[in-house]
Amino acid sequence: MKILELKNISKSFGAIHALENVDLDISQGEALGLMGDNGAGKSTLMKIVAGNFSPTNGEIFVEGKKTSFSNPLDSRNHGIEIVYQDLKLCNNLTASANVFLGREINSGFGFFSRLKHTAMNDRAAELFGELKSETRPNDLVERMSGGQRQAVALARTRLSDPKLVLLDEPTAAISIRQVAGVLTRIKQLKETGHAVILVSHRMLDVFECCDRVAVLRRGNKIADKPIAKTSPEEVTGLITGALETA
Amino acid sequence: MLIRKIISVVLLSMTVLFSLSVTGIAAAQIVVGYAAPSLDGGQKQIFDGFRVPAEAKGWKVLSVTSGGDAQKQINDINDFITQGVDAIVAVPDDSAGVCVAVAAAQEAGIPFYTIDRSAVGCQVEMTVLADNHLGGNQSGNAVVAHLTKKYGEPKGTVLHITGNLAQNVAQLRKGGFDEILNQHPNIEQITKEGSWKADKGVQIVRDVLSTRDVDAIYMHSDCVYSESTVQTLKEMDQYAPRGEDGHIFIAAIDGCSANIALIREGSTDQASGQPIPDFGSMVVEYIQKKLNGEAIEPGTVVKDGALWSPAQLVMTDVGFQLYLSTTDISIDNVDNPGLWGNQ
Amino acid sequence: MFSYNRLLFLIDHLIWGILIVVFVFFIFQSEHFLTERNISNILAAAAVLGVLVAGQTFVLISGNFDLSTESTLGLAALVGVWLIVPAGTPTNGGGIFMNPYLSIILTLSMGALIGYAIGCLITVGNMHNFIVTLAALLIIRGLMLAFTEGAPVSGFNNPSADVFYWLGHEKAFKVPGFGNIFVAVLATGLIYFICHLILKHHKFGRELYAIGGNRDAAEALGINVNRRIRQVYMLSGILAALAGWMLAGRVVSIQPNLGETFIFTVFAGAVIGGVSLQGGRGTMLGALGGVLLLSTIDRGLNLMQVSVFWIKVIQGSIILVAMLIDAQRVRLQELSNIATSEKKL
Repeated sequence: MKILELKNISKSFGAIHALENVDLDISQGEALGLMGDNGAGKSTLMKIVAGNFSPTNGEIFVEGKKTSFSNPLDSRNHGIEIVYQDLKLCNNLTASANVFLGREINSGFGFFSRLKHTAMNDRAAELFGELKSETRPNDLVERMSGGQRQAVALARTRLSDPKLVLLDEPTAAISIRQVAGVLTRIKQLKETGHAVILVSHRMLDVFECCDRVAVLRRGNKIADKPIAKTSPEEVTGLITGALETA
Repeated sequence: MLIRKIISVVLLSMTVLFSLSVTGIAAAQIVVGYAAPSLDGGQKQIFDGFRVPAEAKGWKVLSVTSGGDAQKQINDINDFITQGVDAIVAVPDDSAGVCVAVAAAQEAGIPFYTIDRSAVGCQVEMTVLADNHLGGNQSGNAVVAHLTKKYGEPKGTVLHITGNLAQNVAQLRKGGFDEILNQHPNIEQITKEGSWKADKGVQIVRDVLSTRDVDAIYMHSDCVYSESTVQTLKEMDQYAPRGEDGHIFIAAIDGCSANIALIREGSTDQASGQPIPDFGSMVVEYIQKKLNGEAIEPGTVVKDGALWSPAQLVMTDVGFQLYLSTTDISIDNVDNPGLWGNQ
Repeated sequence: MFSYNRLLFLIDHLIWGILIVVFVFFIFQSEHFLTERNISNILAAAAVLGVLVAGQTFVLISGNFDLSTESTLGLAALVGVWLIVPAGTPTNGGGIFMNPYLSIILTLSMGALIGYAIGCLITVGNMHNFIVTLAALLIIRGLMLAFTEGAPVSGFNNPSADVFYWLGHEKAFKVPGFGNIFVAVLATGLIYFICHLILKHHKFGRELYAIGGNRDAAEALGINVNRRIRQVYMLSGILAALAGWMLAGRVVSIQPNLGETFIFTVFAGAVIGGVSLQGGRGTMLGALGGVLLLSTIDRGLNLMQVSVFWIKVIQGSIILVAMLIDAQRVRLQELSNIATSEKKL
């Protein structure tokens, strides 16, 4: 089943056309690599999926139903989780507080509600365990290594058992040794029936864990093919413009 | 290592504090707390007028300043009470607000004196203040005498620049002046509210003098208005020194050093001088009486040769009030060293 | 064993240590310091400042600041009394003779409204918080002066104003060792308890820390940042008005300059208490410690009979020392971050 379908998405900022008539879809259990040079439109497309921008034209379907996202919470509520390149962590808060940010567990409601610290810490500890991370719920994020920070951001996406996880350059800011761990986690997500979109510059990562690759150039999607039917050389050509189409 | 650095800084500041501290007071010594809005300018002179005779008696004077913050003054006075001082003297930030502190002092059995401003709404031991009504009288008489000399009879036009008329002190300065001038129906008064603001005073002088001929100006405070008024007259080409044709007679209350200098150079003519240095010495005298257990009686207080004499001591619903005479200052006595403007 | 974590914990709670050291120091310096009367004075003098600092702590943690609270405090006190007392001297009221309870409600709503307006200018008008709150500081103070033409509004010995003054005026009860406890002190204690709950145990507080720590992240995770900022200014306005109501009872007569330059002390109290000017850091309990330290030092210096000319110098130095400690804290945190992340790598 198609988890997310984008149809004829265009986005312009004044005279600049960041995206033109882009179609994109992804199914359950599938991993899609989204590639393109700087300025190709990757981050605009991502922000549309995340609910930061509304498209100028085009339609969004989640599980076949037409929807629109007016803010990031909308998108999260539709089961779409984003792991941003800068991870969007609050350094001054604990790991557990970061995981639950915006979705805290409360007792009571309204003004008289109260945060359930223990419940959140326990759940966060479970999630870190599943991710095989040593992070402890009460550690401050500012005292963490790159890999641990990544684990906190990933743990967020597992809170609500999302349908689609979008990862933005997850391996850009961490050490080579930790890359393998991140790729394993992406595969885990796929195996547990999640759809994954991996926005990345790193050809190796995409070819290791994705089923399909889509390439954007100057706001247009110029290729969308299974990994098995392409090669790093072809994709590089498409990204740089050496090849016009696939 | 860092923590050691921090501790050493803390210890260092403690040492500084310690070196500034005064260790112990002799049990028998009289201690008086003095609370003022500030201790500079005129306030400093009022304070010194108190401190010098008090210390001459061997008393210890503690002082605090509030910077115009009524809450801080109350807190500071509470600290005097904590120390069990023998008397408290305050130049109140606010006449009604000081009553909170007065109530606390009375609860602790400490006599409370105010200077320059009376309390409103509570009884203090005594308030020493200037007889502002008399000051208005003195300036009024000087203006009438000038007009009589100029025209052969009391007539002419007088510009009257007031302070903030919502305040008691401005009302008294206006009342005393009006009392004299109203006896002379041929003198026309133009009264304008200047709110103790020099720029407002300048505007009034400009507005009135550009349409009217004025023989004399009376101002509620020379500290505020005198210099800017003389300056404005010069700018408007209406300035003439005393003795020349076209001289505008200027009378005012306060007797600030600025105006003393203007009288000396012939730009202004009269000031009803405040007995600023005497406020404190009178308070010291009456604290001593209180400590000796002497009763005080309302009436006229006279001391030969003192500028403040005669003073009127009256009992009011806010306690005893001692009204010190203002000094009628003109070119004849402007060099008297007893004037606060000369100190 | 030397441990950065233990050291950080110490430094984070240093304010209470300093408070104890200062307290003991003053006990040795003045025989009057450890008396019921003085303890009662320390608490009473801290009450109004405490309420203002509590409001400012919320604003600072969200990464903003609010210079206008000293003026809001003054206006609230002024309008509150003005509505109750007769016109003309010496009260200079409005002659409306409003029910004092209604006047209290109006006063607090006015604080909320001022805060909301400031919040809207910052979030919707996209203006810098420094400029907006500085302008508000000046405008509100100017309104007070224009409104009163410089004359104080007073409700002294006015029975209906006494109801209004109750909060700042009344002694609640006597506690052995602490002397007379004022209603204002109890109220401030209660306010700190509630503010602590909100900051530590409520979603609202958690979101303020997030906004102050990383505004981008808070936005990306669906927190309505602008709405929270408006609410935080509203809260600050309400607490400032409450402080004004409290102060009205303490000084009785409301001068148009009531609260002027108070804001410096407010920031000093918050910063000394460990609330960071950069946002995202600090606790209500720390802020409370800062307030108590300032009041203790004020009383102590007076009881030590330090000359008025030196008191300001000493107060300034104390703020500097606090900032020095704060700077060391940030450095230590960075050091320990590097240490831990290198170990993990």
